[in-house]
Amino acid sequence: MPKYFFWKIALLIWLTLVIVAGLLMPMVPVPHAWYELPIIPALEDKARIIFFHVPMSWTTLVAFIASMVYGILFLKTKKMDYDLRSVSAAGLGTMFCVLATVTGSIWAKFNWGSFWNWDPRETSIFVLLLIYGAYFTLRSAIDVDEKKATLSAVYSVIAGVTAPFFIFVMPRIMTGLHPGAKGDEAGSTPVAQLHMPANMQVVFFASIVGFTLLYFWFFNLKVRSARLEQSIHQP
Amino acid sequence: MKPLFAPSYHIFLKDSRSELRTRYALNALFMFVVTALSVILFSLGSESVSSDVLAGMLWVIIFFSSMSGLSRTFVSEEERGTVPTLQLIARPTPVYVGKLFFNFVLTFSLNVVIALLYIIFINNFVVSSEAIFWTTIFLGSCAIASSSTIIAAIIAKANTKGTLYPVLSFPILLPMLITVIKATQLSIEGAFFEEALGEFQILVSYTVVVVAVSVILFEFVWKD
Amino acid sequence: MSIVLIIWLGLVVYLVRLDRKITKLEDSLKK
Repeated sequence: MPKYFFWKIALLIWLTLVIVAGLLMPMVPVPHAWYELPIIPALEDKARIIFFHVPMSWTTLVAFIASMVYGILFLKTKKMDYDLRSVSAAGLGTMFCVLATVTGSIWAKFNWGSFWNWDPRETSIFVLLLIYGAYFTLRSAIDVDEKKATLSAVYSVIAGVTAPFFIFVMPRIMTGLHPGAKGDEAGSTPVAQLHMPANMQVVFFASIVGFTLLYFWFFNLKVRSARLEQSIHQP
Repeated sequence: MKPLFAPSYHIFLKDSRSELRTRYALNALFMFVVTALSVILFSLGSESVSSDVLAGMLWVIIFFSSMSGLSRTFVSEEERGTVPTLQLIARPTPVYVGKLFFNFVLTFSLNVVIALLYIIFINNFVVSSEAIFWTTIFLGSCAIASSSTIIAAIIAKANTKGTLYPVLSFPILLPMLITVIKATQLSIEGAFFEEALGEFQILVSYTVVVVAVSVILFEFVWKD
Repeated sequence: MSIVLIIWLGLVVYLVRLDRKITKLEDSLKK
């Protein structure tokens, strides 16, 4: 039996409930019952994507920070295992980033009319994609393992240091489509709008938690299989 | 501070002298600027383009010129095999600071030339607020130099240096590019200096943060 | 909508099987 088997099954059930709730809770003009969601004019069913797009964006950020932290740990300790974890996190981060960009693009089409607008948030998820791409390109251009680990760790730190400029500073200074940008002062955290009714918030935050935990599970699997691979090549 | 200043300055002088001695790179860089500008002028023809687009294109030229020129300071050391010597005679930090300053001087002079040529040869590009414009060029050069130098140090140790350099630099520089383009647009509109302060703050903090982090990280890149 | 659920269920099955497989490999290597 895999470790924490019952917790993992619980997580899968949790996420299944989130997905079912997100997809199937009926949308009515005036919600009364706890399971009824408000209709957002012009969006209706497609608004459901918010239960998935934001958690994916959040997860790709978590993955990036993890990759950067493991990179720093590698630089301090020189242990290759940290580099292994850094790459695994980056790989997963890339996957979630692609998903976030695609779902975001679909959301943009429904909500604001076109697939891409160079809104500051959109631009920053795209930049994150470029950073992941650059990270792997850099790694493929270096032969020596230790050098590969060192240089990609340094790059991820530099990228990590410039990222806050995107995520927090720019949307405040420039007007944008996402909530929390310059034109939209009312009740916004940097990550999500909180205009939602309570039952929607429950599903929303449950989704964020669920996706994050799912990411950790993916990460754990990836790291373990990478370690197995290594021990086969260097017994 | 004192032990830092002298060796950095000497590294800067060494780089400047060797570039000025042969001038191959400087000539090529200058011709690149002229070529890029000519391509843009030619493609515009007699069309008049909005000033926002022109502001963006100015920084496109600046960005690609920087990509052509700013990796030399580290790549040439690798190519000439002078890296071990440099590692012996100086500590990592002065090497970084000296080369950072060299890159700054290089990109700032280049950008001033680009900006002047741009203003002279493109009719539609009229700068109403000169203070904002030249401050933007100055601070923009600082920001470009700061991240370009550490990235140059990184790619100097990799295989496909030339193509790798813009790939790594662009995502890092993009927040900076958006800011300077916005500031340039403000200078065209003739805004008051105070209005651009937000952008200038971003540029300054970006430069400070990147340089601080680079100083710490440079040693890992430099040492084998 | 239902296609999302189908994909999700496929992923669930895949994850559980993968986890089991990796655990088995790790245990056999430990011996």
